[in-house]
Amino acid sequence: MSVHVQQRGYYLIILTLVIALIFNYLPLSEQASRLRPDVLLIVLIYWAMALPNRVGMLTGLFAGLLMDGATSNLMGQHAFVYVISLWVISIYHKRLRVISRWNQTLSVILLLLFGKLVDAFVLGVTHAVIPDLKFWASPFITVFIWPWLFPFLRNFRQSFRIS
Amino acid sequence: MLGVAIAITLMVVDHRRHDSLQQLRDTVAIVNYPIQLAAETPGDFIKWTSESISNYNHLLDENRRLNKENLLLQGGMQRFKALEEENQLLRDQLGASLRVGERVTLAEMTKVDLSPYRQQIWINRGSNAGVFTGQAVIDAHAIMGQVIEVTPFRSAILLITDTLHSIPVQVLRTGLRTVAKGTGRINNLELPYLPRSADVRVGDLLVSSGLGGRYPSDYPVARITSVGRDPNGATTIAAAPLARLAVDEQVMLVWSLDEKLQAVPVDEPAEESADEPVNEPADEPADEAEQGESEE
Repeated sequence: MSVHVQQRGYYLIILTLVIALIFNYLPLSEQASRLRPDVLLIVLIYWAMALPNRVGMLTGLFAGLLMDGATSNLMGQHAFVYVISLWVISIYHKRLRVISRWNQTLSVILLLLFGKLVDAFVLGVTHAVIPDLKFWASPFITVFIWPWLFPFLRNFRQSFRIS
Repeated sequence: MLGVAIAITLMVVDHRRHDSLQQLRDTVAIVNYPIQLAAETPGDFIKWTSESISNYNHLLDENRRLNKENLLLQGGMQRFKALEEENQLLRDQLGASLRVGERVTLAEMTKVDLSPYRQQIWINRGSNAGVFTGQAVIDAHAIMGQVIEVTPFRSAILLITDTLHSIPVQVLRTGLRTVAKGTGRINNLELPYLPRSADVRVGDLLVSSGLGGRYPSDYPVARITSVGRDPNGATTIAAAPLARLAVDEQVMLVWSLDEKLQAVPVDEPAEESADEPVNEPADEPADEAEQGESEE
């Protein structure tokens, strides 16, 4: 495994993250955007699980800051969620690799729900709003995403030999 | 753990002292810009395709309709110009100061809206185009909101329907002044500071009063949709914004040519005799709300 392959790998990881970010920024109707899960966090979780020594909390911090810049939320809100999520993944990544696909999905949903919880807290502080039930729906859409995104990213990683 | 510390610090600093992070916001905005452009491309492409394949007759019809509309508007403007000049002349004679006028610039909504609970939109103009925080934004129909955040190429607009937002308004029919607060729903404003006796009817037009200096005066804002009075004395008055907030459209940024927007003294006596108990409590929350916003 030469250094050059490692170098190339970074660009490919960043490419997937940028695509995920584009998906997050895609303008959708209000109803549809309520159901959109945070795809960037899902992709970050995959990389942190597969390559914990390369994608970790620092990547999460920068990715989170980008998300914060695009929403006019509190600066650091997404960064906080991503760093915590990737920290959890860095501890449990070995276990997460061997459990079944559905258990993985459940773990991802839990982390996304944590993100929503932080969002709800920030909304409460800045807007004094208590979100309704629909607010919590988007993480569950992951059920339709993770089962095909995981094999897709794994094929991607293996075919480009990113390790 | 260091990351967590940085993130928490950022959140606290941003909540307390919003302006101190402007440098970071600008940097992030510049990195984000190409990604956002890429995200908007599919929608623009679909729009462009549907425009280019729409047939000749359709375009001809649209052209005729727009020409007619333009003619009608021009006709209306002739009278308006004359009235404005006459008004200015009369006010000059009374010694009252009046703003010179407003200048507007077009911008497009980019509609990258990630947070449904916050009634905010983004537009494709930023500090490079001279947009500033607190600037009023209108569409073809009425006031939409104000700029709350400016990055080099984009700015965020807080809509009048956001729960954080209050706009000083005036009932056009009676001259009654009050404040319209956002409710968090796109089609609803509430008027919480009116007593039972207030003369407000369904269908009344609310225009901006210009108090607080944030918004230019006399722009339409909303129309009263319901007036409910319960026996305890509380009133629940709802209004629907006239601006089309949910539709992806062009918006206009307003520059007041004379910054000194003042309540014209001549108007005051006539109004205070009519509804004195109303004016006092109504105006103060307006100022507080405005100041709250400038701090945000």
